[in-house]
Amino acid sequence: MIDVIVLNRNLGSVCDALCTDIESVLGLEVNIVVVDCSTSEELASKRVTVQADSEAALRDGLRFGRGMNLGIKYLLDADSQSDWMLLLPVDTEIVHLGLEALVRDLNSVVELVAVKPMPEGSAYEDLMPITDFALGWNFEEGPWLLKTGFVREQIAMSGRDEFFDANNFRGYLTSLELAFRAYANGLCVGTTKNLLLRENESYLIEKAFLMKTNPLEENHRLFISEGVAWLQSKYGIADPWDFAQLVRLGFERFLVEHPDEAHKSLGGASQ
Amino acid sequence: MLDLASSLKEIIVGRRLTLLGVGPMSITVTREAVALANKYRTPVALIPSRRQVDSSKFGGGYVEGWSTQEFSAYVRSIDRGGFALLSRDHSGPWQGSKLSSDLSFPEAMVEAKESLEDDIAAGFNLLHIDPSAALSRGFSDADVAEMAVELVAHCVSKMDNPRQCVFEVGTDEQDTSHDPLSVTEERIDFLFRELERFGLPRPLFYVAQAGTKVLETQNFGSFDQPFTVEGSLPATVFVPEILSLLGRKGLLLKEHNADYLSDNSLKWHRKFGIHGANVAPEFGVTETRALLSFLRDFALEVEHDEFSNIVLDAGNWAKWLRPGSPASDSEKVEIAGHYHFADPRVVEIREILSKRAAVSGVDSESGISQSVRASIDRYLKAFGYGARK
Repeated sequence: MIDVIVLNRNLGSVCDALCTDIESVLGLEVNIVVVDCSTSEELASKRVTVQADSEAALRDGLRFGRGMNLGIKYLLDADSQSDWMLLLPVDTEIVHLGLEALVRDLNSVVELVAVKPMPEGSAYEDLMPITDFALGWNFEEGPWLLKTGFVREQIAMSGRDEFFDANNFRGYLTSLELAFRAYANGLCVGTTKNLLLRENESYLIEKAFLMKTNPLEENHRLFISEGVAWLQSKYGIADPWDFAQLVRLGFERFLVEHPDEAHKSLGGASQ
Repeated sequence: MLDLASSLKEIIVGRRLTLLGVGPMSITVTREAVALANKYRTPVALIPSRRQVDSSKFGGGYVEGWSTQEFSAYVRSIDRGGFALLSRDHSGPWQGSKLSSDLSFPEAMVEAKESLEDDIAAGFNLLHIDPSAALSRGFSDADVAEMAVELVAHCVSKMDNPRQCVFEVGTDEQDTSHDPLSVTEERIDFLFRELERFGLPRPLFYVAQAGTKVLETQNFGSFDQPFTVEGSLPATVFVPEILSLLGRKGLLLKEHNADYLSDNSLKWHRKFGIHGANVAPEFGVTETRALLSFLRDFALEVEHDEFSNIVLDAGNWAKWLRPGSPASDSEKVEIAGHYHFADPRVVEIREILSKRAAVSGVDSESGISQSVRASIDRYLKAFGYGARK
């Protein structure tokens, strides 16, 4: 059984089509949670599980972190027994799923707590020409597979009711911070070709207003300026690349401490 | 006494220095680069392409009309401490003047060998062997590697000893992405096997795409982008990976097209441990902008327009433009002004400027030199020149 959280922003029909697609490829072993912050009923998903209707959400839209936090809270409050949860923005399209191989990947390393479904055309494929799965540390933003136990522990440790930092509104360095939290705790993250996804960026380009987000260029500008301010405020680190190097060090330490897994690293011997 | 390769390794790796390669876009750029190398008492490579400086057999290059011997003699005459490295950039078949593009393969190889012979005779220290122009003429990767081996063999046969010069190999097709590491490794392994078969020395530097691409007066490569460029790994991932691969092969990474990178990106060259980086057009553009600024400041509109027309009419700006570029005429002049600094009429225009400026107590040539020096120094400071050992 796997939980899937889909975050909808005024693209109800797109969201419902994605849900149908998920069910068709994953079969009955899936529990879909739709977090919706649509501004009108006709733009909402017909499969809403969690309705985000706060004034701020309706005004600014829900971004990845805040939206997923609502879905995660719903699942944990419902005492989900699934081992993994898949987080998908509404503009995701499933290109390929090899379910059996994916399950094998998820169980391939005991310390594995987060897996990046490979985006179509990802340059990481170059670093793993032979295998489908690899451990890494600096992956693209967007969809993630998270281990439910890790999410539960992180929330308990933080003392807050959220997994993703809600102060990081646009989700700057979300993937890097996720890897940081894993490696800082002696755990690890990886990526797999057995779940290949595509981001349909046309929605963001053509329907930014409908999705209650800024136009792409403005979004990029704010993503960086607000994100760097968030990084400096939270960690006291001025340069994002310095933060990245810290995560890399954690990754390398993990490989040293787990020599049996070193061959699974991106660019490792078996790759 | 250490040989050249060992000395360079000791400086670059031992001091964690990124060796700057400066395109000698003009006599001013050449002079300022040599002066800074002597100021820091640390090697700076001067990296003429064959279009900039070439054997007198092929008519020299567009920079001062210099032949290889003349360029070498000039540099040696001003390099009091011996810190300037003469480094041929992109030598190989079809890498010379426009005329060389019409040559057959055997003719182009003969021409490349003759050009390299002059480099060696003129005391060049580094030779970048780059037959990659053959790729666009139907030759394969393996053909290109064999051409590289043939050129290295020819060079060694012309040297007093095989360690007289160090070699740089690899291509730097300007792109926003890079070759897969596995492809790079296969190329290196093939090259090493062929070099070993003929008892030839391995290169010291390997040119690999690190995410730099120069168009107009900007760097559009992935290295300097705040977002991951689609199909490219972030620099924080890729650069350590390529450095690790080259380290295992005993090679140093040479990055090309580092022009116009931000101060922060330059700082990361040393932090990552990138061993060398080439910068060329930016220094020419800096000189052109300074010249144009002085012409405007001293109300030399006729000369300003004449210089601009010379540059615009020649069309050297075209290869630097983005597809569909909205670049204005003044931007085109800035991009390509340096191709014409040796034009007798441009020399006259600069003399007119000097005289007009001198009336106001201003040394325009000194001002232009200072701009160029500051532009080069931005790289040197970021790359570890002058840093405490």
